[in-house]
Amino acid sequence: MNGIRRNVCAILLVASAAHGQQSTDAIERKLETYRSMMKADPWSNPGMLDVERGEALWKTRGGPMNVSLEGCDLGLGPREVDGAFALLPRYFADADRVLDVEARILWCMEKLQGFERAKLLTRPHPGSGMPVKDFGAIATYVAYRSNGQSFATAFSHPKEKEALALGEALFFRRSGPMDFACSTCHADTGKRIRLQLLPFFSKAAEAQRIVGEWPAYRVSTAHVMTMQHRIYDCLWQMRLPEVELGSDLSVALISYLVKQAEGGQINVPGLKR
Amino acid sequence: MKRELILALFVGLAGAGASYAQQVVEESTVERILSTAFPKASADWLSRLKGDETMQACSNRRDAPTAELARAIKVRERATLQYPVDGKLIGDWKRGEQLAQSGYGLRFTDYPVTQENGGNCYACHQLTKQEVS
Repeated sequence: MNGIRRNVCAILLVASAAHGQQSTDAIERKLETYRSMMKADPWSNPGMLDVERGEALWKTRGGPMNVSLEGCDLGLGPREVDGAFALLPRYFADADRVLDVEARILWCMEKLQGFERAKLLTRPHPGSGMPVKDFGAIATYVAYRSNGQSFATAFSHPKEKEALALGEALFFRRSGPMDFACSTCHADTGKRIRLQLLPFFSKAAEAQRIVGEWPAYRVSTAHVMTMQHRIYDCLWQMRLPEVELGSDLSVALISYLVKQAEGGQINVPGLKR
Repeated sequence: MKRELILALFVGLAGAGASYAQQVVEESTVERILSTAFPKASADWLSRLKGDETMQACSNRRDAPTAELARAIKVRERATLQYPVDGKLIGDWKRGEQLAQSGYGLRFTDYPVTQENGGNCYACHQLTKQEVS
C-alpha cells in the first residue's frame, strides 16, 4: 500500500521527485500550488463526481422497500438536506443514539429502504483505486449541501454531551502495542507523517480549517474518503482491531472533532494527498 | 474555605484536561463503548485496548503527568530497557533506516505475517528530509 502511495505521489510531484534534493518546503509549496489549482476550479476535484452520484442515489428508489432516501430525517425533518450536516452528529430519538451523517444514512438505508444491516457493514470502505461505497457517496452529497455553513451542533441533549465527553476521553486514550492515542499525532502544531501535515485538534483554528474538508478526495488512493473511513484507517495504523462503521466509538470521536471545529466552515469535498 | 474547595475542584478538572467532561467519563463507560466498537475482534485483539499502567496514567492525565508521576513512570520504564548484550550500541545504520521506514507489522492487515515488523518510526519522527511519502 505504501508502495502504491509512493508511486502516485511520485507522479504528482514529478519535477521535485526527479531532482530529489529539494527541501520539503519546496515540495510542500508545489503541492500547495496543485491544491490551489484544484480549488480554483471546484469541478476539477474528482470528489464532485461522488457528490453527483450521491445525489442520484439519494433520490432514486432502492432497497427491498423500493423507496428513495428523501424521506430520511437527517435532523431537520424528511426531505430537508440543506444545512443538516452542519448540525451533525446529533441525537435521534427514533434510533435512541447519537449519529453522525454516515451512521444516520446507514440507519435510513436499513429502516427505510430495508437493506440488511450486516451487509451494509461488510467491507464498507473502498480499497485503493476503488470508488467510495454508495453510503459514502450519499454522505458526501449530504455534506456538500451544507457547504458555506459552519459547524453548529448544540450538544445539548444528555446523550450528545455524553458522546462529546467520551470522544474527548477516547482522543487522549493510549492503547495498542505501539502505545498510540489520537493525541500522539494530533495534539501539536506542524506534526506530520512523511509529507502529510497533521492537524492539531486541540487548537480551534486548525480544527476549524480541517474538519470541514471531510469527506475528502484522496489523490493517493483515488477515491473519496469519509470521516468514518479516516478514523478506521487511523485505528488500523494504531494497531487496534477493525472498528465497525458507525460505532458509538467513531461517532464519539467525530462529535469531539466537530465540537473542536465549531464555527469552522464546511467545504466539501476537501482534497488530500 | 468554600472558594478554596471550588478552586481545588477546578484545578483538578483542568489538570485532567476535562473540558467537556463535566460529567467525568467513567472507565466502565469507555469500556462499554470499546466492547461494541470492535465486534469482529478476538479476545487477544481486544486486550490491545486496555493499555498498561503507564499508558493508563498518561491517558488519565492527558499526557501531562505530575512531576512525581513522571518520575515513577521513568523509573518503571527504564527498568524495562534491554541493551544489546555485547554492549555495542551502534549497528548497521542502513538496516536501521530500513526498519525505521517500514510501517509493516501488527496491523490487522499484516496477518498472516509475511515479513519482519518495521519500527514505524516515521509515524512520529522525521527521517530523511527528502522523504515525501
